[in-house]
Order: sequence, then structure tokens, then C-alpha cells
Amino acid sequence: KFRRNTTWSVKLVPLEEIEFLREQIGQIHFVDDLFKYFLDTDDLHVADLEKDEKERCSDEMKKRDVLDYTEKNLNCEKDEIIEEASTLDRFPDEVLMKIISYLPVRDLILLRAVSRRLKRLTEFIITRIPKTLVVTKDTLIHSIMYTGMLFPNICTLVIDNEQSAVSTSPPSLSLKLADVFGVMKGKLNTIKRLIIRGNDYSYGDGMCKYIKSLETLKLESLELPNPFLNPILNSCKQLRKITFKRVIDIYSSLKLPREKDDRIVYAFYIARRPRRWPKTEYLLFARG
Amino acid sequence: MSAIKFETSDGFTIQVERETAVVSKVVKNFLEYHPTDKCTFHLNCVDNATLRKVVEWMRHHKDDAYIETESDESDEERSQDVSIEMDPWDANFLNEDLFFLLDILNAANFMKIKVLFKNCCKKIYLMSKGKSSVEIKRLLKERCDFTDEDLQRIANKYEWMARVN
Repeated sequence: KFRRNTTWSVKLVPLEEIEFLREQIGQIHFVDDLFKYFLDTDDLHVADLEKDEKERCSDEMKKRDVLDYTEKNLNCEKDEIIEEASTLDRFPDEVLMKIISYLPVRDLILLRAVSRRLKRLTEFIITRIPKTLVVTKDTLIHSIMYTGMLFPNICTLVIDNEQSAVSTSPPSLSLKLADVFGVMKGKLNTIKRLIIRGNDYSYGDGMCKYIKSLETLKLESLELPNPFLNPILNSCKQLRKITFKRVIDIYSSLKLPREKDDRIVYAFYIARRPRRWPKTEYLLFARG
Repeated sequence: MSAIKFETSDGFTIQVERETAVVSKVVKNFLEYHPTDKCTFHLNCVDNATLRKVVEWMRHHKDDAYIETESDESDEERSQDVSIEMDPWDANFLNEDLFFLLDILNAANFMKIKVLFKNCCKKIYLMSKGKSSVEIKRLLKERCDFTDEDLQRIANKYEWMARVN
């Protein structure tokens, strides 16, 4: 695979750098991310890293870089010849990343073409920082699709049909669970947290096969189908926590005996089935 | 009433009452672990004009409950905060040119004043909203270190985004 692609290069990475990246990226799909980082088909990225290293190592290279830089500037637009220091030079990467993280998707795309530094930071945010996708009543299906295409690391999915800042569409147009999962399909294997609020849960069994890395599930203001728990616990082996809030007739959905103290009920329920769901630590209830 | 002194990068010293100074999380954390009536903070990357502006903001917001409860939020939580609405006083207060705004932002980051930092980010976003890469480049006076080929490759990577309205 490597031999065919001449634009790729292989680089030995010091252990300290790997540890630093591990802290930055987190443990999720760490090896995949590391490979993407160092073996990028977009050779600009590799060139960035090599350039940084060269700048650190050699004074001669620094001089050459200055010359290269001057040439590049001349290649850019005529009115772009800037001699004074850049406004953003005095900001460290962390501050710039904080600023960039507030920007919407379209501006992130535009910012990549501003400078090499901003491109590196923007792409770090797009590809590595865990993203939360919020689907409300007004969210369009295209918007979900494009977010899925752009951000490979969607960590939290919130499907909220209860609240909407400015309601511009009639309720009949709001997205069903099946629509959201139908569009996202292959993009959902990174999802760790899923929050479903006030939606129709009838597609619940179908969605289970797409969210294999799910760790936390929160269900609010909805009605559960009768065999609810088995499909999701069988598909999502990493699931550790399920939270229910204002779920209609939760007792018959989970086949629980009605008790006054909810905490006693779920403790009893899990204790009876320790072998089947060893990773499930607890279920939470909220009355209502 | 005890007072806290701030020494700026250009050698000025500004005295601020304690209630105002603790809006900065750096000051608050320091005073929690080292209770004292008099102390001086050296702000190496904040100049006099910027600090005066920041102190004005701190004075206005010293009694606000949400400043007190502001915690270190994760990136995930921050990404959910998509609203660009701002307190009208803050919006008016931050009606400055970009360079001064960036100075305030830098000071807010240094002094860990999260609400001010957020508001500066929102203000900068509003200034750059709807602008093209070239316009942003001019606005920030950022060096263009790309060749035409690089720019073409960058444009091609998410070319489908350009077609999305």
C-alpha cells in the first residue's frame, strides 16, 4: 500500500511525542488517529511536520525557509505582501484553538486557507477534538449529513425534539430517529454518548447495530417499546450507564416490579443478571 | 477593605478592590490557598490600557452570580454552547477595534476570566462572519504562506462544502 503511494512518507516518532499526542487526543481510537496524523495523504500535513523539525534543527534551514517564505509571499496576491508581524503571532496555539473552537463549520473551512498555522489548528479541531452533534426540531437532514461528512470524531449525539430556540418548522417536519440514523449510519461508530429527548423510540432496535461504542445512554420524555433493554445491551457491549427521565410506563418496559424507592428496584434488577451484562454498572431512574 | 495590585507589562501598577479582583480565577485561586490582604500580580502579557479595560469589565460583573459559578468546562460542553447572544452592556463594551479586542482576549485568557474570553470570541466571530479567506487574512494581517497550488488543494479537499448553502 505504501509503495504505490509516493506522496506518503514514514517517520519515526519519539516516545515523548507519542505520549504528548496521547494526552492531546485521548484514548479513543488513538492508534488510528496517530496513523492519520503521520501518514496523511494530504502531503501538506507531512510537509508541515517536517518543516517544523527542520526549523528546530538547523540554522541554515531557517535561512532557506525565510527565502522560501518570501517567494511564497510573492506568489500570493499582490496586495498581500505583509512586512509587519502577524496579529496572531503573539497568541499561543492553545488560545487560538479556543477561539477557533467557537467558529461554525463554514468558517472553519474558510480559515484553513488563511495560513499554514491556522490550517494546522483548524484541521486538528475538525479531525481530533470530540464533536457534539445536536439535532433539534429545526435541524435539516442535510445539515446532519454534512456534519457527519466533515467531522470524523462525533462523540456525543443529542436528539432533542422537545426544545427549539426559534421554531421555524411545523412539528410534523421534525426528524424521526430512523431518519437521523439512516443518514449517519457509518459515522456513528465513534459515538460514546447518546441523548434522546422527546422522540419516537420505535426505531430503537434498528439503531443499536450502528452505535457499538456507546457508553452512556440517556432517554428522556419518551415511550419505550416492550423488549427495550435486551437489544441495546446485546449490541452495545461498552454500555455502562443508562439514565431514564420522564419515561412513560418505565415499569412495564423494563418488566420491573413497582416499588416506592426506585433505587432499590434497579439495584435488585442488575444484581439478578450479573453474567449477561457484566459491563453495565448501574441504571438510573428519575420519577415523573 | 483589602486591595490587590496588578503590575502591567509596561510598568504601571493598578490597585483593584478584592471583590473585583476575584472575578479573575487566577486571583481567586491564589487567594484561596494564600489568604492575604496585600499582594501584587505581575501580568507580563497585559499592558496598562488593556488592564484598565478588563478591570472596568470586572467591576461591572463582580456581583453576577454566573461569574461565580463559572467552572472549567470541557471541550464537549463548550461545543454545545452555540449561542452568540451577548449581554447588551458587554456588546457595547466590546465595540473596539480588532487589535484591542485581541489584547483583551489575551488578558482574559491569562487572568482566566472565562465569560469575558467567551464574549471576546463571540465578538471576533461576529466581525469575521460572512467574510472570505482573503478578507479574514486582511483582517488579521496574517501571513499568507501558501502557494497557489496549496490553496487549490485546500479548496479541493472540502469542495462539496462550497456548494452547500
